[in-house]
Amino acid sequence: MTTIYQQLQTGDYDPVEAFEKAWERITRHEKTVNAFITIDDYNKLRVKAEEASKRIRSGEPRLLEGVLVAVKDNISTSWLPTTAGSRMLSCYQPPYNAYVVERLLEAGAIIVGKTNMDEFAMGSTGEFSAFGPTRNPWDLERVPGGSSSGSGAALAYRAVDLALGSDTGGSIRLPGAYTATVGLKPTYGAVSRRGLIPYANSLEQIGPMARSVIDTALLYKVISGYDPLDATSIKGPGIELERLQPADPSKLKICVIKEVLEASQKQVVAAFTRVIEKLEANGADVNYVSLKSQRYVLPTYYIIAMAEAASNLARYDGGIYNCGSLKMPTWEEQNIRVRSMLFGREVKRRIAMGVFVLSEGYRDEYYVLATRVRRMVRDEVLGLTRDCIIASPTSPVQPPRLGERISDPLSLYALDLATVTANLAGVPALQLPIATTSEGPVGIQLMARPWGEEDLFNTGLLIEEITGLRGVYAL
Amino acid sequence: MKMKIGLEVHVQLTRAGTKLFCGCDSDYRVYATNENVCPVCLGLPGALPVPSKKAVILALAAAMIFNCRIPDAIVFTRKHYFYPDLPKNYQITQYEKAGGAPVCLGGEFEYLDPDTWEWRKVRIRRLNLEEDPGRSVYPEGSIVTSRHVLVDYNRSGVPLLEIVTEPDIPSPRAARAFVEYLLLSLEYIGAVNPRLEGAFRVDANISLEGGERVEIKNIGSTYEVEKALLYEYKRQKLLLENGGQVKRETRHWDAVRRVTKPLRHKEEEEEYLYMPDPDLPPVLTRPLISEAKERLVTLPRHVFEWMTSKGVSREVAWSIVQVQHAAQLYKEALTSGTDPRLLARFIGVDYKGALKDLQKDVHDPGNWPEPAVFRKLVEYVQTGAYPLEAITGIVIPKLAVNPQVNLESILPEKASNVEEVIRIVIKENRKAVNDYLSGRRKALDYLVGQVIRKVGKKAIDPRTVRELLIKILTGERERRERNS
Amino acid sequence: MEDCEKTLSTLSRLARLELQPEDCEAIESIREFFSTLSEAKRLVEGKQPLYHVWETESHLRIQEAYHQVNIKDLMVEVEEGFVKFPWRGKQ
Repeated sequence: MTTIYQQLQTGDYDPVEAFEKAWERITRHEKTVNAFITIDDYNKLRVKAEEASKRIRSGEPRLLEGVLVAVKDNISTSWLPTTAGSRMLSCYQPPYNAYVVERLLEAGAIIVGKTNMDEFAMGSTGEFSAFGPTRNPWDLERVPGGSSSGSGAALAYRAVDLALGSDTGGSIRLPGAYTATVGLKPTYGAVSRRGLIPYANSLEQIGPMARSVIDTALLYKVISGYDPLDATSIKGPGIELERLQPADPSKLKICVIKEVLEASQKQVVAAFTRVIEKLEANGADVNYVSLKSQRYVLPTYYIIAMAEAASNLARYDGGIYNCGSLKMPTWEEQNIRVRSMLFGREVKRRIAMGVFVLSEGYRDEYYVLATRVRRMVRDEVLGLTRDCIIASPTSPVQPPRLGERISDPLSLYALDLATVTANLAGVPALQLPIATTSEGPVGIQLMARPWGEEDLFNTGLLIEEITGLRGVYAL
Repeated sequence: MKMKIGLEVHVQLTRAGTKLFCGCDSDYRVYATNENVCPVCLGLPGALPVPSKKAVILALAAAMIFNCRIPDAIVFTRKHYFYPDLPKNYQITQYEKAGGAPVCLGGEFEYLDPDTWEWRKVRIRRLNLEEDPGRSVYPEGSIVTSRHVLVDYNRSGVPLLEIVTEPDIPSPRAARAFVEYLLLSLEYIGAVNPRLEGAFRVDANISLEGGERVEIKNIGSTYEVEKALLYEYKRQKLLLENGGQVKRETRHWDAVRRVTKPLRHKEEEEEYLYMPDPDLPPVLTRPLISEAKERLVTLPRHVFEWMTSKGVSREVAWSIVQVQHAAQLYKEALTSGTDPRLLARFIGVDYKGALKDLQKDVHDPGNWPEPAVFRKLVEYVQTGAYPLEAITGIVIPKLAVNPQVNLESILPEKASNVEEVIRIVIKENRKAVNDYLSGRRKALDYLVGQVIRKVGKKAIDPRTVRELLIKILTGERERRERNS
Repeated sequence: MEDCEKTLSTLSRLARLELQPEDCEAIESIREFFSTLSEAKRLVEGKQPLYHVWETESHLRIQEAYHQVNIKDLMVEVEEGFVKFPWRGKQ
């Protein structure tokens, strides 16, 4: 299976041909899968593909010349609506482009459309979109994972070559695990958040998604970098694609988190253990370790995320973001009416709980305590990743069936058991597929020290060799 | 009755160049409605605030003026409340109790009380750097009655420095002096033009012995700071003297009716859901200290004390110090040979007075001549080339009309020409000369008048004419005596 | 349950959201889930809050470039340049 990166390198990538094939698949499957909220016009896209082909023929291709990319719908595009999966923003088209979108356009990528997602990225299954749930192309009765549900699904049925997601507590990695695709949650500060409609600013990053490790690295290279207009952006070391190669297993130290393994389903543990044992057999130093703070990561994460969400979503008051349809006589009534009508139930719950943990008398008990536990989590993870790649199943379960987890919020939050740690600690985390079964795909998650993306990609390339799951797709 | 006054002054950093967190203009007054706005100050989804280096430097410089303890890092917090002029429905400020760190953790400031020429001490509780909200207009009545609200976001995000004092101020008049000196100091470090409309607002609290603390909101000028506090002082005093009680409350200053009025009580306790802003990591102050310090090179107090040490009277020195450009001019014009007092007088009394007579803005540097011009004027008087009266009475008023004019073209005739006129007058008025020489002193007045009339409207000092006349006529008398 | 309704009305007021009585169950269970964190208290004794993961990695803005927005491009009612919102309504 050749990767997009290889095709670009060898000059085998033909944008017009790639686009026409992708468009055919979109026409065939999109109605069922519902991976996109907005797809750009066929003719406009076709013209772009032709221009890209011309550039390749004239020998001046850019890094992503003509490559088809899907962008999650919470990332601002000035020419396409950006809804964040919410009715609240169903009429909103931003007057500016996100930093990462500017980088994509500069690199010659073709943005095919905006992908479906849980409303304001609040969800782990993709079912909380105001535009209907996305289905998993591997099994249409199952969820594709969230919140970057559409990006994972679009990759899985090959509507696009690459996709952007955002990851606040696993929103890139869970869809990766459930759709057998690769996704990276970068080091906090590696990718500018400018133009990303925020859910929880201190936790989230935009990240690359693809069907192979090297393509994920390619997209990461394009979108990462210092942005002076994001105060949390950091000048990182960057990566050299040419230098990436499968890690030498004899020099690899892996730390498996016991607590996550214990909380995972049998089939997931089996697939995971197979890979780990092969690594060990090839000479890797495998350790089963205990993460002391593991049992606290979920409440810590959800308290912080909801507090930030309540604050971020205060601006949607029916003033600027209102399709003009809901008019109330007073300001306060309009606020209440618009917010109550246009936010979905899960978003409203999270806002309410965010307000709760920040309110007088509860702030110290919940919010401040969570931020102190966050320090403990971060310090423990930083200590462990100093000389170790942390490994665990990405999700404790295989993709749930549609509707299975929407009624009980806690069973939904439990899906994030393994993923939120990287967001709390700011470290990079890579998801890649390790099995595709009748119950859906299984993924492995690797976490490294801050700016350890290169280590993650190299380890990922090694695992890809072991599993052979490079460039797999459904439908 | 003894009183305690504390103040909360909000000053816009109008000269920060940009808004606090985006590149829009910090001086929004020149823009048409809603034309000084961008995704950040409109709070659009995904727009990110990045603190302006200049605003932070100015805030730190202010903290240094107040001799503040400066924290190692400034931490911004969000303060939530729903309001149409607040596009994110939270304001970015600094709140210590919720993990924030203000620019100043406590300090001390001395201000000049020009009534007594004393430097008075005020403890500063804290200094916050925060965003100004947009501007609301209530077209169908007031904030309480209007059906709609109209918002102009041009002001949204302008850097605002909140200065909170301890209740150390002894009188309404001292409160005014404090605010005036505070604004002057902030002007000297290049933070604000306090004369711009809406550049500062004051909330004041005042308590009398035996009464509770009352807060007065919404005072828009230094003059009104004194008036509002004086009104409140009298109101509370009367209450207490009649056996009443002053209760803790917040009142509103009505600048039109010149009274304070109670504000309606809010039904619910305010709950602001403070939290550190996750978009804004702490700003380390240490690397910024030296740059902030550079802005403190010239402060009003330095100039004032330097001038008075040169023998300039406090009144004249203060008059100059109050106009930053005049103080600058003074410093540049003063060279080793220049009489510091005369120079101060020309700048701080005569020229400033002439500008005021012409109703010209004394703070506009364009209304002032070059420093060399003042140096020249002092030199003319020092060398006797021109009499003082000619400079103050004729040259300076003309200069104030057109400060860029060539100085030579407005100078009066020199004294050597006057001598010739005197000789002509003596020739033409033999009778008066004889009268004077024979002892009628009044004849001299007549001759002085004749000389001045001949010189016309050109400047001449009657005393100079009189002295010259006496000198020449004395020579005449001696000649006659020799001849006879 | 009465407790929850009180909480609900406070949260509803602060968040400017209508919350339904049936949200009570979810809110109560999330609150209980959050409360499990109190077990961690002894582990974090003396630890400072961590609000920004890298704490002091920050930068200031020096360049003045910005992106002006035409207010009319947003979904708002504009009157003589001002953005118009409902306020007190008919009295």
